[in-house]
Amino acid sequence: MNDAELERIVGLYSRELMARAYALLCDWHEAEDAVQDAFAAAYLHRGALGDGERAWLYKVVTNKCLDRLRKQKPVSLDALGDAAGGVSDSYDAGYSPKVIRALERLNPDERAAVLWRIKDELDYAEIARRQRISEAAARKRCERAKKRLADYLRGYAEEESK
Amino acid sequence: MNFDADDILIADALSDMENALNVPDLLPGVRAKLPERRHRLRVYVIAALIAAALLITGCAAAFGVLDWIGEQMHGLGFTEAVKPVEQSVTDEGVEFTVIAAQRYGVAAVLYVTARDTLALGRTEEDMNGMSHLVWASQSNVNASMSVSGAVQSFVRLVSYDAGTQTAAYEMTAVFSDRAPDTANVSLRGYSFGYEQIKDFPIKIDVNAAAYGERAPDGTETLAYREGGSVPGLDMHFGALGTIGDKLTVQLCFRTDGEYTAYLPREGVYLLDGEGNRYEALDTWILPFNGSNAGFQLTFDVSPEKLTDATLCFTGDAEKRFVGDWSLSIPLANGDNQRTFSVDINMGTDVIENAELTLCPVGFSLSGTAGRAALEKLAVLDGYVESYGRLYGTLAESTPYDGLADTQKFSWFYLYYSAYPPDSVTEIRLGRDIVISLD
Repeated sequence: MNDAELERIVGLYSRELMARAYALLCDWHEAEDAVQDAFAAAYLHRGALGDGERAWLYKVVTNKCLDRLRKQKPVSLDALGDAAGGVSDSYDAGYSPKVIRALERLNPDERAAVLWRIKDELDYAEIARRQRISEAAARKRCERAKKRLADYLRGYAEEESK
Repeated sequence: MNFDADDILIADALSDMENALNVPDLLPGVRAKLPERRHRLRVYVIAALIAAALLITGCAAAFGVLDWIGEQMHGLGFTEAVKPVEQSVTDEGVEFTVIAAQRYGVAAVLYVTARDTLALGRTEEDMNGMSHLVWASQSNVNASMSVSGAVQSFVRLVSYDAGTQTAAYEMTAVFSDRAPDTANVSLRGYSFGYEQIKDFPIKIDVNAAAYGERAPDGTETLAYREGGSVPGLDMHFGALGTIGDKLTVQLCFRTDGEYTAYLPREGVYLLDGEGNRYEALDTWILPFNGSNAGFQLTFDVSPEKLTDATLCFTGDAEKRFVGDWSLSIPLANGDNQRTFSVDINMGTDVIENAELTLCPVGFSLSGTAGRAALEKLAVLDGYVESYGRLYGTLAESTPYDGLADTQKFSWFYLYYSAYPPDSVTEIRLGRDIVISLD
């Protein structure tokens, strides 16, 4: 890949990849780093990405994010419990990413599963394959994560309306 | 896919978030992460020379790699908890090394690396396709899951080092009983990168499908037919006909070919002469003999009603690198294990006297239980209370659609980081099931 090609994919995919990484990591700066790593990987390891470039970049960004999440120091259950809800990383004081606050209350596997299901419209068999669990477990995980995420979002909306 | 109110709420929230993002220019940061090309070349040459030396001396650098994996695992006492092995085998210029291996209860956990010693780019960031090609067994190098041995094994990428083109993996093999003292680990190939197939069409002979000879019970007309093939996949028609009067197609591919086909259900559809689209009702993977396997696709339409039909494919063709890497690895007992006999109370169901073994990289559960309880347990994540939430992966080793109401089970929950077992006071399965270890 040459410099012009790198500039093209960075310009074309930065926003959606940042959104994906931010949703997975719930940390703006970590997301920025992960997406930059993915672009660097594309530059270093690929020729022309071709028709599959978007899918390839999504795959690598997701791997980078999940890898980062595995390396994170564990947080106590109390901090992740129902009382939690604050965003540890303030991306922009003027902008309140409710969906990020809600996603932060899911564990990383749940976050990935619900994004793959709702945003990427993957079937349960593919989610199961990616997370190396049974199809039944993938279905359960998606349903559970989706319900919790929707409940949190509705809760935030109710709080705002009061 | 049908969307319900929750789906729409979440999708809208994600779209709103994406649209509102103030994304900075990432290019300077990307450039800062890129090594200079001249420097990269030198690294590759050095890596190749080092690789040549390693072929003669064995895997002398294994301890260094173990430290590297330990850093990636971000665990507490990881390198002290695992048993270094230092065995490697090289085929086709790719070195496969078992860095460490140990057994914990019903599971064996191995750390392995794959490295392209010739720096030809045959290992990659996204080479995640190893799991279905890696087997561990008690007695037979060529064993598969169907032979007595590991009932399930899976692999996850720990990290990838672009400089040396080395991918490090954590491999977990779960056995029906205690893990053996030797694991024969064999790698026949792996996937790295892929090519996308988009709406590739193959014409179907609807007359042949509709009027084939019926099986004695009258339910199907499947028969071998010559047909088109999907380029790059070595995938071709195996059979065409009907099952229950529904159009059914079988497609064959070689499991040892240059590509591995992966076709999600949504990736295969049928177009009739009027442009109507039919989705596959079901996709079955068929294990054939030897190096052949296939997909069976059924569509909710009778071929008698079609004047014309085209099968369209969209999916990934994963590039596969085939070789033969086999090692016989001693499995020592992992240090720092704690074993308990526990009752798992699940409300109406109780699993009594299950064996729980805590180890630094996860915990195993085994015993005998009723089918209803196992079905509940199978979809729960595992947590260790004293260190907060852990992202456990469930390796289910026993099918629960068997005939017996009560059956043996052996599962292993793998942590994403290492934790000292002596600090664990409580295990949680899902949100509600608590196993106290006081």
